[in-house]
Amino acid sequence: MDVDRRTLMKGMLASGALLALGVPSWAFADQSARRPKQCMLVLGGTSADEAFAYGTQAACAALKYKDFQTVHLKGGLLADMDQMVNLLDHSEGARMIAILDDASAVIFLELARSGVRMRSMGAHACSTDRACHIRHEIATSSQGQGAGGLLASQLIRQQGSFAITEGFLHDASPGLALTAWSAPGFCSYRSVEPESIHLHCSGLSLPDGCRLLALGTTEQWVPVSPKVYDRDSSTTSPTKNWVESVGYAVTASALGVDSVRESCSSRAFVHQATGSERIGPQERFMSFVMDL
Amino acid sequence: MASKYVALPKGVSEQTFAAAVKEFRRVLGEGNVLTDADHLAPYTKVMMPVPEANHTPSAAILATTVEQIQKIVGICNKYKVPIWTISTGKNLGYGSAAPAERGQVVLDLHRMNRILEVDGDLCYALVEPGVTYRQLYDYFQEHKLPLWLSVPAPSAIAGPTGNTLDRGVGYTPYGEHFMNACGMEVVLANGEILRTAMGGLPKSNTWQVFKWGYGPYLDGIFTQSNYGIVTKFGFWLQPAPPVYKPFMIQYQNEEDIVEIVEIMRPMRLNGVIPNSGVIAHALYEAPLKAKRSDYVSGPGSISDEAVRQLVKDHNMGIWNVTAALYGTKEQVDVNWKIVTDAFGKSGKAKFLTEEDVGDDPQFGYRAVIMRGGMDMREFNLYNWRGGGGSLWFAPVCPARGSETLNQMAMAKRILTKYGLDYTGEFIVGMRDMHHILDMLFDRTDPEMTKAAYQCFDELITTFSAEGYGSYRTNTAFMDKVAATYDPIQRSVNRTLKQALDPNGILAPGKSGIRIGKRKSVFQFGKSFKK
Repeated sequence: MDVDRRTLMKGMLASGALLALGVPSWAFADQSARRPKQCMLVLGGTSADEAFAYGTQAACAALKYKDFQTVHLKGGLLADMDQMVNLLDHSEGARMIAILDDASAVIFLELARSGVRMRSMGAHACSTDRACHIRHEIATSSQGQGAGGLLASQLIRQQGSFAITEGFLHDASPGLALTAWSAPGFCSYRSVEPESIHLHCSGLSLPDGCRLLALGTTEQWVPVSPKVYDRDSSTTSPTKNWVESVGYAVTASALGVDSVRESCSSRAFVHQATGSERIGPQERFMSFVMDL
Repeated sequence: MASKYVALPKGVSEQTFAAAVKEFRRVLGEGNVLTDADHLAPYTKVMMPVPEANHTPSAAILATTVEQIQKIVGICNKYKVPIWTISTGKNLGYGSAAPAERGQVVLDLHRMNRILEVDGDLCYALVEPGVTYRQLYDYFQEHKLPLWLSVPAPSAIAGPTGNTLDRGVGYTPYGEHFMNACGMEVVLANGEILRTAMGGLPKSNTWQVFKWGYGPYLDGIFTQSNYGIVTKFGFWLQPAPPVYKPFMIQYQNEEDIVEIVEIMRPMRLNGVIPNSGVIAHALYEAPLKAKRSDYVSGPGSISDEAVRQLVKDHNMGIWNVTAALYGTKEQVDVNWKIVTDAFGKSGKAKFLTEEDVGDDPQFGYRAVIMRGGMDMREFNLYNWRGGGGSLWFAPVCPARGSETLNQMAMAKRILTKYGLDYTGEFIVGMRDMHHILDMLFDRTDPEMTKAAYQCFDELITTFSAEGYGSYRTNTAFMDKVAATYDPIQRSVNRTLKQALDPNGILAPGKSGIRIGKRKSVFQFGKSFKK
């Protein structure tokens, strides 16, 4: 295990650059109350670690969050799970963001099962052999902790198709007024049967979006009125590729950026790029955000 | 109005559930009754091709004593709240820790983790359900006990109680775990405590040494079932042998499995090869050495040509037989000669021993788990395709070469139809083989996830139609697999359930068993005949 403070310094340097890009400070107003006292990034030895960490640093810089620790797990959890056990045992009170390969993620979840508060788990993949190259499947505890909207806002800046699905374990939507995420170019729909789903499509029709996500066509989809739209795009930041975008969005969410709380039990964002695709690194990994 | 809970048990109102939760908290303490989404999220994660919402628990409760469990079943009966019991909760690819049905309360026993007794002379252990193999392994090291475990692939993080109760297997001579189980303590749905077999005798001193007791042998009905909650579990341990010789034999054609099985069966039956060895297809072992993306660029399953290239690049066999010899040097030497003579006859086999392979990861992890060591490198399987999808398909196969080839060909044909890879192995029993197939798919890909569901469904249907039943399955397909077995079996299971758990509070749906009136399936002249 190697606590890397050098990368933190690089992140601090990035901070100035982002402020110069005009990320508005008001976008992060009110998030100090949700901000964790101690936050750590655990890099599980995947080939996506570096890019993810860069996104994390960008988010920390944008949010002026300094108390961030980066931990490198060498060789993943298959070779040695004791280092992760120690980390879980000795980091009480910290918020942990972890990026792991699929195999290590399975073990990690088993080690962390009881005693942690899991805010979100995400599976992220990019491969050219599927209709939609970049895919994210996120399970989030509740609407207030969702990173899907932030991620969509990040990814739309890049020239590549993507699909994000996000399910909320605790569906608080019956108690929420109708709200929906939005970003330029997206059309949004909601379905209330058999459960409340929001679908945001860009560059493709509703039926094509449904087909891409293997959603049944029996749902009654209704366009969401623009007046209930809210935006996450004000909290975005330029990132070089999709992995950085995930690092940024997951971290920003973990640091308390108040994403749009959509009144639905699950939501999806689908974007079909026009023209030439910029696919980005073909990686797959899992992300976790949890309180220890 | 939004519910306070992430899910509710079927047919239970929020008010009733809240009353049950209040009583759970009185028994277990506030911190041991988890109902908020943050705490429940790790209990919902599944690897199956179904929405996690189907298996979301309403609560997770953590008990540490038998008395608490007795009180919990009392509360469950009072409020008709169903519980899904897990020990260490590592049933990966079979449903993990998530319940069979949405809204069931997970009763998590992982903190009930005392090693109650280890007898170094008689070679047995008595443990609580939360004890892991790693705990026992460390205990043996600490106390310098020359005892070996038999572990499944998740070794360190799994435990003997849960694995054996789901009739899991390991890879040592004690690899058929339930065969080596000896004595249980069970909390019944009415709160009574049953000690099986010799455990029923006051001052019993043979509970962990004689399995059968007196009268009907009951232990079996508490495996893969929902008739009770096992709170103590006894099992046998292997004395560490003076000499251990793991070996691997590689073959280069899929059809060679006929020869392999015909040679191996007599050696398993007569004890020359004493352990549950494995005949693993190249794709089962490949994730230890290679990346799928280096060999496949488009959609669909990996081609035979690509598999051949992979095998060549990484010094593997299309079939990789791993087994081991245990005993004195004289015994091992004699048996090694028998093994090499038998497999060497056709000239197809390539023999590898520890001396030949260096630190080869494939040989290395097999060598560790065949002596009951802790090694989780088999989990590299989950990186093969990526995306977190895994379903174990587990049909039983007679230990005949032709049948083995037939099963492999059937599985491969169906998997290829759905664009999935044949990632399979045969765990070699004496007369049977557990054909274990990890159906790996990418859960981030909705199309592939849908295909995985349909593929698994077809595998069950097709195999059972050919007489190949599954010995174990995941929570999404328990009803389907149960329905492949004869209705009289299912009716008897239901009758037992009704008698032992009339309110149906214990793990409804486990192995397709629920309460309900027994339907008479008997008709004169139409009873089940082979």
